[in-house]
Amino acid sequence: MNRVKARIVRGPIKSERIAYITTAGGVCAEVLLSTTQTGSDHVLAVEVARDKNNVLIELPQETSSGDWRVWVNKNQILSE
Amino acid sequence: MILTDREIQVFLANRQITIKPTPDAVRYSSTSVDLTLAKQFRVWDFNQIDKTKGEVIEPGPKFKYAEFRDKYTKKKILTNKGYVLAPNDFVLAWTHETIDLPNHSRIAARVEGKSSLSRLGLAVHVTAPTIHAGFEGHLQLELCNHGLFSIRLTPGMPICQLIFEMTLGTPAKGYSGIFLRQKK
Repeated sequence: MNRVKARIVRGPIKSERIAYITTAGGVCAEVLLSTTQTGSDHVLAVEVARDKNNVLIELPQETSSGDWRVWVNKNQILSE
Repeated sequence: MILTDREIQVFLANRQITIKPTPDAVRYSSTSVDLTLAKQFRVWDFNQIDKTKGEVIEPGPKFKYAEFRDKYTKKKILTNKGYVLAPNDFVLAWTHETIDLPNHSRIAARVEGKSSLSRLGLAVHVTAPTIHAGFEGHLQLELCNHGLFSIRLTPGMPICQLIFEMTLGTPAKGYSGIFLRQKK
């Protein structure tokens, strides 16, 4: 499990947070998550592939644009 | 049993499942793979429907769906601007990808909506999600907007997800040409 850098804001209910993750393509991916799947500055996600500069992560939920998996720059990975 | 992403990829590599064009890595989740929207739509022809004055559909042996569809819908090819599906609008659409589930692979599948679209009110099928073993072709989608806002649908957008399930045995038709004609 990886901690992936994200901007975290309050969600629609107390147990949820909205996370904004910058993808390798520069797009801001929005995903609604449980508080257990987020920290103050990150989301928990699983690495499924990697290339020279980027990591393909699978998020715990589908993003608002319909993606479970997004490429992020490896600098976005806070810890493995 | 539902196939995970790794198993789906193994089945694809072994041609026990075929998806053309092959989905990108980002189209997978742990237990599904997303399919995208084709350009071809069939939209209702309200000029024809308005002439029916309350015609009642009677599904049964005499009902010919293809004739019905051709009479009351018209083809539409989407441009990159897409199609705006108004609340309560219902159209027939297809996946861009073709699927092949050979009988001998012991694989069936279900097409389901994506939560990101479901939250907006978009349904992608009307109670018929099963893709039976032996299916080959584009998946038809019955798109209905149950939401309050119009939704713009564009060709190539991820529109549904496919969940693969392994069957317990091989369907009888899967044995045709292999075992059915064996003589004792």
